[in-house]
Amino acid sequence: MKDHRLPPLLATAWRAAGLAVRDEVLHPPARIDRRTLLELMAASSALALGAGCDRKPPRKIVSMHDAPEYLHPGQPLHYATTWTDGPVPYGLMVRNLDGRPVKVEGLPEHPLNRGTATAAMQAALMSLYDPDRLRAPRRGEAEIGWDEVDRIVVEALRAARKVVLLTRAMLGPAERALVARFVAACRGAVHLVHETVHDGARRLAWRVAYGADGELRPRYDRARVVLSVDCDFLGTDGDVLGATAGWAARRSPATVAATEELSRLWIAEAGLSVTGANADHHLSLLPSAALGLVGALRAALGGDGAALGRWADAEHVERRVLDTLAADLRDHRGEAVVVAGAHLPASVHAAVCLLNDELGAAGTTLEWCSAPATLPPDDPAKIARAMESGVDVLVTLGVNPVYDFPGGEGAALVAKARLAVGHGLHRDETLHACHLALPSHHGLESWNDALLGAGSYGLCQPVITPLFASRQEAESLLAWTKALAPGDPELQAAADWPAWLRRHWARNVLAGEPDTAWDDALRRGFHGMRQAEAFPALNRKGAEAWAGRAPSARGEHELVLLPHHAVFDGRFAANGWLQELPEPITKLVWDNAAVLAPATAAALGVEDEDWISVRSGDRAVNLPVLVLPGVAAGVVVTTLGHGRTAAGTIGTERGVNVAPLLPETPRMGERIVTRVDVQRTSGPNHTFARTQKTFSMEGRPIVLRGTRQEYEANPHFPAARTHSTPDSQLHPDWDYSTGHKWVMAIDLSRCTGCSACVVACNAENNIPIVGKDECTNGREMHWMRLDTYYGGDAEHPEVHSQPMLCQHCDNAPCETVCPFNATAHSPEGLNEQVYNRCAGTRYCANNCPYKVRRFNFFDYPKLATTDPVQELAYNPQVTVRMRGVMEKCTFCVQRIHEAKFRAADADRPVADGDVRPACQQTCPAAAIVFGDGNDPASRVAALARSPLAYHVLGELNVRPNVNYLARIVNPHPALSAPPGAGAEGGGDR
Amino acid sequence: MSSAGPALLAPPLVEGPIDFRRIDADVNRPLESFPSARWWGAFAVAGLLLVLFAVAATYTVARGIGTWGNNNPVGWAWDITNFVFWIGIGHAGTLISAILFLLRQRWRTAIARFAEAMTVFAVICALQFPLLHLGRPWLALWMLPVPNHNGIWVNFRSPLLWDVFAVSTYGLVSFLFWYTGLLPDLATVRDRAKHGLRKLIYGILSLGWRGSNRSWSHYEKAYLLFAGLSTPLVLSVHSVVSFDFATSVIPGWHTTVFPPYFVAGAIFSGFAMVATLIVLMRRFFHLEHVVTVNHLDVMNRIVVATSLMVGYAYVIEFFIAWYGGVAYERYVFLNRAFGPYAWAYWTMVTCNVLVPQLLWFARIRRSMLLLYPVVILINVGMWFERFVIIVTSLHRDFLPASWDHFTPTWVDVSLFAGSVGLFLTLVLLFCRFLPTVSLAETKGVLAGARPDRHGAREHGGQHA
Amino acid sequence: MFTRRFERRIYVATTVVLSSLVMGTAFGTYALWPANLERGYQPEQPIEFSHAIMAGKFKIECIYCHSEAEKGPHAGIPDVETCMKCHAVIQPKDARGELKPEIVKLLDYWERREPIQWEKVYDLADFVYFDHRRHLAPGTGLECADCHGPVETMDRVERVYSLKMAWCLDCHMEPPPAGAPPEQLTRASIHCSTCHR
Repeated sequence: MKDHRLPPLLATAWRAAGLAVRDEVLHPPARIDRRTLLELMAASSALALGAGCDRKPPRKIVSMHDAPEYLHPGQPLHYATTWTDGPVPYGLMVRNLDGRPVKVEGLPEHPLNRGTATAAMQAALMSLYDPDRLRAPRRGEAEIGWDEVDRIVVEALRAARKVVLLTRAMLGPAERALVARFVAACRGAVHLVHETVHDGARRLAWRVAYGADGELRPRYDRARVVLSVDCDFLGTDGDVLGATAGWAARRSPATVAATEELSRLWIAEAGLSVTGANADHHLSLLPSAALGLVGALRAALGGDGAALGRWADAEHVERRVLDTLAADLRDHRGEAVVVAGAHLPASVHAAVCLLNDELGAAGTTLEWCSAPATLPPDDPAKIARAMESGVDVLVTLGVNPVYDFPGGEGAALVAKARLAVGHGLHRDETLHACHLALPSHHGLESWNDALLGAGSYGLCQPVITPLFASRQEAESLLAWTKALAPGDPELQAAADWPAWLRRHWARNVLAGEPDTAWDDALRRGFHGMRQAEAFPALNRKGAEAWAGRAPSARGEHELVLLPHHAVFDGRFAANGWLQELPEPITKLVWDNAAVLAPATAAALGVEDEDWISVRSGDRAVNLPVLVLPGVAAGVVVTTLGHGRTAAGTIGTERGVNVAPLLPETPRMGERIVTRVDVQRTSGPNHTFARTQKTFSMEGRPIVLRGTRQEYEANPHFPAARTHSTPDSQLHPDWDYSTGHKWVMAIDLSRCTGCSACVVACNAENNIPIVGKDECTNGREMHWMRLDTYYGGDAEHPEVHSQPMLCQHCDNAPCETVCPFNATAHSPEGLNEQVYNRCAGTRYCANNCPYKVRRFNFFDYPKLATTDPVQELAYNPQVTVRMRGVMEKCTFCVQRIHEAKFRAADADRPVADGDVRPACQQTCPAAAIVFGDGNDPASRVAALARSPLAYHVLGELNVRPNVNYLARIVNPHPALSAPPGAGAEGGGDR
Repeated sequence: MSSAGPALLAPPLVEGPIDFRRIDADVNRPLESFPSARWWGAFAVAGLLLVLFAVAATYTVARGIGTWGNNNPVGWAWDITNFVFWIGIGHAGTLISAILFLLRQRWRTAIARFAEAMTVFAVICALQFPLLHLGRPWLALWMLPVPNHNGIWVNFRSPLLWDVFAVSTYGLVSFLFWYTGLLPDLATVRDRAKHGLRKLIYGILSLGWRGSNRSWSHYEKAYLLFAGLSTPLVLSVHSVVSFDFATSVIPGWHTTVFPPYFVAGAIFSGFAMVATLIVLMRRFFHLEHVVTVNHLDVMNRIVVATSLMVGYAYVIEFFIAWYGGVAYERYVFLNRAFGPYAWAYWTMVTCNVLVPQLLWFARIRRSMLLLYPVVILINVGMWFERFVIIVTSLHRDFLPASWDHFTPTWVDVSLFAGSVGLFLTLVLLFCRFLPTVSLAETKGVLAGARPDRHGAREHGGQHA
Repeated sequence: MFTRRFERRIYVATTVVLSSLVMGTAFGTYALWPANLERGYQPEQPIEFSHAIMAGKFKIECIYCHSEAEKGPHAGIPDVETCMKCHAVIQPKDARGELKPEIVKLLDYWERREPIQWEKVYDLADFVYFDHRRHLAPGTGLECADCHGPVETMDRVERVYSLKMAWCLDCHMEPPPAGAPPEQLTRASIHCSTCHR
């Protein structure tokens, strides 16, 4: 309180001096606003007007008119909702601040994802605030009102003889009911489901094998032996979160009861997927040979090993390995499960059903679910047939056939419609081709529901008032149906879509429940847990018939089309966080590629960034090449979802659209082509932006890996392979004897490298995207990165992935060299970076052995966009950094403080698990544990005491506070390498 | 002057029949005559480069460091390379003016002034880069340990802060030393001046020097003191600069040999630069008889000597890397010699170790034509030395996952070229407006000089 | 060679120039010293709301209107409804029996259901994380006036303290109050992340 009033003379003096620049110059410009949304707008406008020239630009503080009592400025509200944009209806926990969502997280207790989240789920926030969203209905280029839209559509529908309603597969029960009403009310209407990435082939095989539509859910937590036939169940295939959680639970000696519990993962695959990277045994498999392999294994289990031998010889696979595989499966009847990739033909899946039956998986390692969340997709050929003859009205809801219709005929089909009405988030390819382009609500603005399984329903509620003049697809559908069926009392009774939804729930979901049930469902985000279902009897004959189908003829090269791990089938292509999320294996961003084995590339005479043309039938696509060890020779692996032509500033013209290569066969939505013609071709100079350039560990002890046998022989082997930190040092150690000491432990046996933590970190800490060019120049800003190293041989490399973040060293090299004291050590062991004190010498980054510090070379937050809508995505608890400022992982210090405050309010000490950094919170494998190292009872302390725990670069005596637990793999004893071999990676690349 | 020790060189330090007036006339000619077309030409070139510097600097400050090639592992590149390069250049000045003075090496007289001037200019150039590499140069103010409204103190553990003190002291002392030495000569210029304004300006600059006995004795005391004061600086400054790297943990930086190695390198590059410029200067301003071949000969001997020291440092670095047995250390040095930046490393070795060996031959030492390419190459080599140390160490350190490559942009290049322009501009202006050779001292070593107190007064009388 | 008189003039002139430079710098520094820039800021508000009357004359507690101060990070500004709680009935008139202009303004806002856009007087930079609740928590012994000055005497609110870091540190560097439990954060912490995140 030492200040005194400023003498008026001086006051006038400095006013005359006019100092508006001072704060602009010295401090980050006002970007975040910690008050209300209203105020943010006021602030930005005030800044824009440059109002006032004394002191710093004055800002408004805006009172509400009459504030709701539950709303406390600056204090978060959490809403439970459901993710309806993706392939699986996971539960979302949305953190709302001052009326706007600022973080999307997994919903705890949700039957499917139990609090964890995928990258795409969390990135939903980014697409909600995407400035490129379609903001109002358009007829051609002209903006029109919704009444106008309804008038046009209803007229057309009344007059129509042939109407096609094209929707995505993810439709909730209420929406399905509404669609049924629409089809009933509308003359000549047919409802078709269009998806490019789906499990149609699997669903077909299951329907045949078990006589009813439903899906099989593998229980990896019960499986001791898992065989994946080209199934990336840890990456992109099916219920990834559930699978990862279940699988990881059986991988780490630190968390299983006994090493016997550890599971073994065999994979036979064409490419090198996340699952393949985590497999204990990796076999190369041509897609066309999948059926043969499964058949041979069945025979072997039946006692006839000859088939296996024949297959092995045909496919040049080591016989010994296959025999061991067969034996391993045989030895673990009832504890083994076989899964096949959704992109494989139905015949393979039928065969897998039979194989699983022989293994006694039914009811033990496989569960039956009669209520899949998605509708079975329709065959592209069928859709094409329906639309070829030309329809009077085509209504597309959230699908983009013009971009991704197999064979690339989408544009032609849509053009045939007399009136094409497109509903979507962006004005994408399809909406451009439609006569009416209608903006949809984002999932976070919508009311909806979803099927989570038998007797379990997810509820989706809006968490922000719609940003634009958009309308939910279902709302439109309801409005049109009501107009078409004036006589239907039920329809007329529903004032709007939410009313319809609530009615539907009252009758079908909450029938007989107390009145509070709806509120409970809203609060919890779902209703009812999944009931265990009786496993239906196997229709052996039907399955045999399908499994007997000969695989399609094999050519010199085969093609596999997989969903992209981030932008999936292209629906997330406009999302910057996902575009800039490094692909776990290749570290490729903003791009897709034709991934080839070194042998294949050599045969074609191509190298990285050369172009090849892939021709299937009469359709050809040119792709840049990326050579990757571990890929099967003769296979071209590529991903869908890139090459969008209308996906806003972020997604447009990134990579190549390979959808035209998708087969249109009536064999149901498989995504392989067993005969493609591949030629070297010329193309524009292409540069891949890869966030990692060197993939060899250079024989350094960075990721420690040991086999289960080695671990059993000597649990302390990590200590033997790393140099220990000296115990004594010249200058005194920090005193952590009182209070907290924050420590992290990362279990490399659990981590799959899925990279969900990266997006979690981006969202929590306002990390900007920097674009492809900056990534090429090694300037990506991710605080949490996943380092990937290849070891072993080039054909079946060991892949090690390691989350790398600020290690919060006790002897932090960065702290001593900053001349401004901008990075300092907290009494709780945090290495703190003070953005507003940082002048940007970059000395700290130079001196960081882990190179985890990130520098704002440009004004990145402004680089992406200056649209204020985008700014709403910022987390107000974290400063947005301006150019010239160094930044890095803070262990989510804002969460630490929040937890302390909560504890203080409850007048209790901070308990273990109160503080969970964004990365830990979202990790599907629960590989990251954070907590108080001073509390011996804490989980993190226990893990740090594990014999597997080691420090990366500990020998530098920087004394990091992140403990890595060495990765334990579980190869079959018969095939296990002698202890020590390849334990430290190294090798080529 | 106090009685002289035996001169280093047998031949006279100033050649030809020449008296005090003649010296004044020769040395002051450039000041008193309208500049030649050659000077204007040179000035135009230097000026253009200076403009380039201004443009690049403005662009950097406006857009950010992203306009440079620096990236994530390589936080420092050309910026700090240039800084160390220019600081090094300065060293010859201090060495010649201070240490050789204390050692009574009277042959220094002819080149001392020029070398000192060079020091001052080099420090000015050097200072540009630490400022610019912040991207927001105004924040450099936080480096000053002054009370502030944040109540934060600077971090005295940071070598960068030591730099601030070391370099500013160095710059300040060098300037004062240089200016003190100028006083009697400024007075001479004033006295020779015809035009009133000229008289006025040089009059003010000469602080009313009257050549009285008292002035001379004060002057010599002051000069001696400054010489003593700046002698330790020759060693301290570059040692401190080398701490930026030596105190870090990065393999290739974390090296105890750095301080002596840097100092030797600095003197090495400094002498090369002095030679580079003075060869031209003596030719264009017809001072061959004042700055004689013997001077260059002696300087070149020093160049050879320091070149050997630098070469030794290169070798010992590799030896320690091997002997120390740290995998990271070994990798960094192998990577230097055979990695993506091998070309830079071998350029450095060639220019700094191999080429200078030519100077063992008197014929090359004493022939302007032959020694000129040598000293030029040394300047190049010394720039690359800093580049190699900084960039090759950073671009591949501990975790291979974070390895990357550095490629300069046009801004990087312009800033360096521009700083050369800044340096040349200052040198050219210096040649036009100040005596490039110390008149007072040169007179002291003239054949006819009787260096005792009476003599001193007599010659002082020359000005009076 | 100059005459001594001329030289003396030169020296006098030089001295004058230099000394004025020094003084100028000193004055400038003080005037532009950031702490001094912040104090005395007294913007005009959309409504001439007088704390002197409300808090001074009528002794209304700060918390009555700024009710969030004890609940969360932001003290908050009362919604129009809060004003109307009283002013629905208390509507002072001037001599001519007409509603006072400021009351009219308020009623207009209420009619138009429009929020009032006040001018911020205390506006911390966005990288400063200040939590009112923590500072009013039991054990800190802080009053609103400790940071906001004697608001109850101000007709138009004015910034009394600079709220610059050094000023915050004056308290934060004081030893913690006796017997405060560590978790309750009554101990004023001075490590960076306490205020900068």
